[in-house]
Amino acid sequence: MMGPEDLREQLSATAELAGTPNIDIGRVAGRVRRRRTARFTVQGGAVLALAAAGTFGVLQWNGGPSRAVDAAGSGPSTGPVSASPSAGTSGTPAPGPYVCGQSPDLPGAASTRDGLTLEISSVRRTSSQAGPEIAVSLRSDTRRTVVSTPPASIEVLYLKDGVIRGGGPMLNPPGDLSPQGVDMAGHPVDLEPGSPSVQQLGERNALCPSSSWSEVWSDPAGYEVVVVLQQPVETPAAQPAPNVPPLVVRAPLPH
Amino acid sequence: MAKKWSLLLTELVQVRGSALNRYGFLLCGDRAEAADLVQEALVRVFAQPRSSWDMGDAEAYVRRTMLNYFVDQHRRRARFVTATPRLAQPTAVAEHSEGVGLRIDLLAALKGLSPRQRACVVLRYYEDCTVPAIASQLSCSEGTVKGHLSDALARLGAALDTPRTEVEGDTRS
Repeated sequence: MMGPEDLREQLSATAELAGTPNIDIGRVAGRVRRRRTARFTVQGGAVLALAAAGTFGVLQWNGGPSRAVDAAGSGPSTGPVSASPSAGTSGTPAPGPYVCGQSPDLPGAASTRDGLTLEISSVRRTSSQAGPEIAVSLRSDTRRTVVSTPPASIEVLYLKDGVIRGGGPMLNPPGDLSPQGVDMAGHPVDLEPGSPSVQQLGERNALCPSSSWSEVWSDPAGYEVVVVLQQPVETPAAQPAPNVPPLVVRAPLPH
Repeated sequence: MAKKWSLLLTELVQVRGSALNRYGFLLCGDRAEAADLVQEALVRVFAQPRSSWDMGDAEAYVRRTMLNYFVDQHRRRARFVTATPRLAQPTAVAEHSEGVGLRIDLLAALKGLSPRQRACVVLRYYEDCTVPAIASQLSCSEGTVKGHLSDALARLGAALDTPRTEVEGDTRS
């Protein structure tokens, strides 16, 4: 006869037939990471979309059709022009637009804010006919996950004498003050103190009219690289802060 | 600060992986299915960001998720399985040493139960849960749990050719 205690004993003994657990921690961790990334991307995308709308959408620039331009490939150079960016909804001037021949307007820019520090890890020349390969790193003084801008959408500017001579992805031809914007799907970044996240930015080859890379590389000391990153937001409880100034860092072009 | 989820996951699998695997094996009756069940539950639990938890909390979440996933999965595929000819029966165990026979019989008898009946038996007689606790975990009434246990024990008794075991409900619940 099998009483409750017998059944308990038999179940315990039967459970031993399970053998050694065959659990692939690496595969489980990978699946967890993908699901978390997908969640952060959705949340972060919404947050950054709101932030982008606050930063770029509220700008009322002087004239020009409402269109975004990601390269300066046409139109005559008109030399430096003066633009007066309007204020965001809270009165804090917003960055951009980035216009050839114009000094970038980056109000309140800093390389460190809220425990996050942006640095240029490397600027490397790969060809005399193309822009440099740039890598940036994001450091945090605490362990956290932030939603940042995808590397391909991080803004790079090439300046000479403080004036925009190229860059991207946002770059307007000379005199074009139309609003700019990029698709900013959230890019989750896990940060730990002492372990910066390095982002390879890819190519930013666009130059303003009348400029060429051979000309740039013939006088690299006259140019500097500026990287502009929308302030990353912390997840999952982050609230959009459309008028927080960007993180900005600078480095010389390599010889 | 909460322990990083990946560290907690590794620690949980290393320390409690065998226990979770045995629990899954009793629910599923198959080693491969048990491993899949544990891993699926781990993914579901750890994919949810939580402000803080320890290993005890994590294991409780995983066990609960295993149970729910097991019951739901069998409910969803029950219709499909009954309409599909079985091409091959997975071999649950390979050993046939002395003393293993009865366990294999019990395993086969457990497979003859419905998922909810099997869950009730495992929770009651392996996990030592009370009837109210089982009812809470399965989101049903205590009477339903007692009914499942009674039917399950009757079927187990018949399958194992032993007299029916009385349901424990008075002393532990």
